[in-house]
Amino acid sequence: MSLPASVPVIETEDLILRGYREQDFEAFARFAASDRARFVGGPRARYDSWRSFMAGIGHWSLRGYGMWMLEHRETSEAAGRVGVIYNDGWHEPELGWHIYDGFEGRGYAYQACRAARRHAAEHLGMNSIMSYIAPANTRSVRLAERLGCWHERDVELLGTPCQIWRHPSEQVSA
Amino acid sequence: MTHPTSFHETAPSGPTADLAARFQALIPVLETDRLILRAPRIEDFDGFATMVCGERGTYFGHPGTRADAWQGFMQITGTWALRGHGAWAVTDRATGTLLGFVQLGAEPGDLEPELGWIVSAEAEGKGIAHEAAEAVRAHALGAFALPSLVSYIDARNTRSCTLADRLGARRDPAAEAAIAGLQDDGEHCVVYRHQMPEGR
Repeated sequence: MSLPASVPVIETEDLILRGYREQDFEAFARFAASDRARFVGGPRARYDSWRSFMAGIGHWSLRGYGMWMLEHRETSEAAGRVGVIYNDGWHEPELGWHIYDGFEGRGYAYQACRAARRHAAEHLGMNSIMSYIAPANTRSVRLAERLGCWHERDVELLGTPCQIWRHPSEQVSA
Repeated sequence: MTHPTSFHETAPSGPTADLAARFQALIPVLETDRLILRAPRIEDFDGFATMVCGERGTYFGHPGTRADAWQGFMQITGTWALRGHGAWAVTDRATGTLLGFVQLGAEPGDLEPELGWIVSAEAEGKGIAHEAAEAVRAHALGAFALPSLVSYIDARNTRSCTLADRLGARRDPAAEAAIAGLQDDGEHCVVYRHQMPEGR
């Protein structure tokens, strides 16, 4: 069985968006255990990270889409994750991004989000997708603005206050 | 259990349905006299959540909330891609009704592949778990050729201990000693080892 081979691969200038490999787990767990993960359900213990890593893969099998691992072309390291997540109890599928330590501030999230957003519009039938952002996550708000998103409304996400930011439509060729 | 939205629990459509179907097709279908074991699908989630969120889930990761159950559901499905084994949905051969789940798991803290099971309240007491677990075990030790197979069972879960016994598995004191230091406070897990088939 080779599931990663079935996750569509998208290439950008600096990144390769691809499926998960077991060797990505260390970078995944480091991020999840860090304070950087505070807006995405962390920090998490290593055990919980393993569950969450496998859950990220299971999402692809259940939904037919999910988050890609971002492979940094130059170093082949895992630089983060970007993709479409639709968890139980959520309002609609969202475009999410996590950038790992050492890879932020270089425009990678922007680059990967543009590629994932285009893929979602062209291949998943999801145009003008949204992103959930925690109000205190100012870095993510800045990225959303740069991506052309607007603050559409405030919601509760499983009991926690959260903002929905709406992405502009991508031009999709017929 | 009622839930305000149902759209997210309906099968995907369009191109995403296609990719989901291709992933699911990688998982072998197992058949027994009364059952069909197949890949978990999104439509199975409500049944899974009902099974694991209540008292029945006490010994199946005991998720406290539906959101935890969702993580667990994705996890047991995702195990396939990393390990080449994972969870099957157990369904009634005649009606297609979801009756439970059997998994070849690789949970955090496990030291070898694990055979685990859970069935719905309606399916209990009919030998469903036995029939499903036996089919999965045969596949695990046959086609999958796993090097070993155990069931980690909470010592208080007498029903599952009885089933492990009926499956011919035997307590393994060495394996129990090996995991003793890995358990949380108050946790007491026993280990049943499944026998290798003749010639292995």
